[in-house]
Amino acid sequence: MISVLLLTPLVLAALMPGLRRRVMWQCRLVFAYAVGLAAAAVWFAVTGPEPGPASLLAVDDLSIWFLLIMAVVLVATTLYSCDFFRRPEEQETAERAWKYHVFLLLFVASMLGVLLSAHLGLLWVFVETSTLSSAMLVCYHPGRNSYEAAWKYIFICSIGISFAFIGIIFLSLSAAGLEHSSLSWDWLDSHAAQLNPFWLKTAMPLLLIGLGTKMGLAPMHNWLPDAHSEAPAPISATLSAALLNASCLGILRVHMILLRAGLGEYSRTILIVMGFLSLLVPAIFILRARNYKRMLAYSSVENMGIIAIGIGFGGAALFGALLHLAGHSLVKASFFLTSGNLYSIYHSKRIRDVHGIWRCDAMSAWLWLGGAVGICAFPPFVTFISEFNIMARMLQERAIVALLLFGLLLTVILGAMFKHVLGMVFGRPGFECGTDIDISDNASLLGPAAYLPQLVLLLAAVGLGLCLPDPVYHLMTKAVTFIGEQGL
Amino acid sequence: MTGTAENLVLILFAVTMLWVAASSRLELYARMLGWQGVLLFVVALGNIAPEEKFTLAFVAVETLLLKGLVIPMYLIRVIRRNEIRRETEPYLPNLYSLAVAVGLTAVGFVLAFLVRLGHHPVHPCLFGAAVAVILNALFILLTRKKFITHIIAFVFLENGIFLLSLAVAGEMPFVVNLGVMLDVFMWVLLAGVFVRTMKDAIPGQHIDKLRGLRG
Repeated sequence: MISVLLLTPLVLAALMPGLRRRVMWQCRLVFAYAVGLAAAAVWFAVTGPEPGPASLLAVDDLSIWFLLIMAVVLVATTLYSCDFFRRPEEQETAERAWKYHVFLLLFVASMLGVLLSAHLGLLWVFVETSTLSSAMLVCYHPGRNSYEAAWKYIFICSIGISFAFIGIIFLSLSAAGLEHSSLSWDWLDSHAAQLNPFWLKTAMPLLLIGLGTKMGLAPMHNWLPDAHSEAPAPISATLSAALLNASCLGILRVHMILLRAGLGEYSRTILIVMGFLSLLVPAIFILRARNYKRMLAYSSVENMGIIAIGIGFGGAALFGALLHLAGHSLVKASFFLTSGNLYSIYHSKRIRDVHGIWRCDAMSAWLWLGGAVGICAFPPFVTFISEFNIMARMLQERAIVALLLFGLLLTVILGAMFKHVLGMVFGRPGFECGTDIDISDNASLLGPAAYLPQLVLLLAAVGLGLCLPDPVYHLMTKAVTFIGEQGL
Repeated sequence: MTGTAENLVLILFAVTMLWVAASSRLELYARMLGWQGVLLFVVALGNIAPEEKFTLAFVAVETLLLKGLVIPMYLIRVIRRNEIRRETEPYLPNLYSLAVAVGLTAVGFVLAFLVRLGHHPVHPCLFGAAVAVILNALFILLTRKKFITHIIAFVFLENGIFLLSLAVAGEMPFVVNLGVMLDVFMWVLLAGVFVRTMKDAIPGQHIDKLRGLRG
């Protein structure tokens, strides 16, 4: 089953050149794969962990949760693509759509590889492959800005990932002298207490820098606003809602090793510091944002910070972090997809060019507002429950300064986000920038698939917030227990 | 290979970075990459048991063929096609660069000495040379402006990491080693394509021209 999951996107990618003149068939095929992946994720959630080929791949209690989130996001983004490629502005690039789908499928395969890797070295290979495949998607729309974004993305992430590889080498050194040593999760898990603490402590920051770069944690986040703002909307959504999670899984696995080795406090401190830095940066930049996609990207940095803090505090906060991963993915994917609608209507990414969405396209306005409310963690969204869990843990740990700082930074970000969002939703729409085209006419070109995925994602985020179903709760508690945290 | 001969090769490997730091000729950078590939093969020979023929063949392909020949030749081709011969206007003049590179090389070997004092299972000269190359590669990345120089500096970084990984060569399954090799190769190919694509879009091909995305 695991091999089939990984090989299917590669086979489909090989079929794409044959469908180069049938863009809608390409979209449908990728959408069908995403639905199949979602079905497989549900299957794993029901049947439980499964070993993979050659002990290099496996599905475990932790990866099932990440697999489910990724599958749901992919179903939504690929459904949205069916409308995206029909739009007039995409007709110029229709001939290259098959390349888009080839790289998308390679990107999906590499992200799946990250989730299913049972070996740290293999995880590194897939993380690097995900950078290479997605860089081509970031610059799908050619232009100076997209090349700049792709260059920064590929360079910053690759250098970060190189540091992670040095960390892997040091982790190997920590196991020197032990019999049958390996970098498989199973071996590291069972022998963590015997690893050399000096090399383990040296490896941890390097692994965190590397995987943290890919996860978008400050201060290595610089690539993220550029890449997310220049990529096509479905790719921005996939990068933000699936790729960042995959890197987070790598960080969680490294954190697990340190917990088992009795160095949990060391790992927690680094994660909490990086987490708070990741809240501070967006608090400054969202306020000054001029581009609404960059605003969403900075919000991703913020949410990755919240997740890092949750992992750092452990216990109920770790549960909150895992829930926040899902909440952020659902809401942010919806938010980014709606930003694609706004671009199709206004043909601009500048906040000052976008006014009166409400009058142009009420449905997009609702979705845009829903995204803002959800990402700012208002009830009844699941993000409220997850952040509440993290704050409750801080209170339990008597980390009052951290709690106050957390609350303060989130409030600043909330204020900045709503200043921009409300300004865009209300007001009077004018003409398209530099033309005499009435913006309201552009909205009529959007089909049902331009709204349905976002609506379902937001409803799912609200549904999880109102009532966490028992199977989902059990899945998450299994993941938390797998990590080895106490105090739920 | 005797310990002294291996140490000499490792020191030579570290010294290639001093040459790079003191020069502004891009083709020389690419040629140094090639020499590093050859030196890596020599070091790997000393670290792999002769009966492990498959590993030896794999390392020969990775070091001699890819790092020593294919990647440098590809980069020289990109340099010539883009008509950029020299790294003009570096952030730091070459003389100062050389002084800093000597300092960084010393830092690498001092670190190796300190690690050896702690009785850690590390070959001190191998560790020192690897750290020196990694630090110098990062230094080149920070002080040079051309896109192509950044690609070359990244491959220097990868060479330093490869040398470091020789200390733990037995830990990685073949699939992982193959994946790492292909990733690095694909990265260089892709980055080369980007440089050619950006030739017209970004005049001068300078990294400090990448300031279009803000706010």
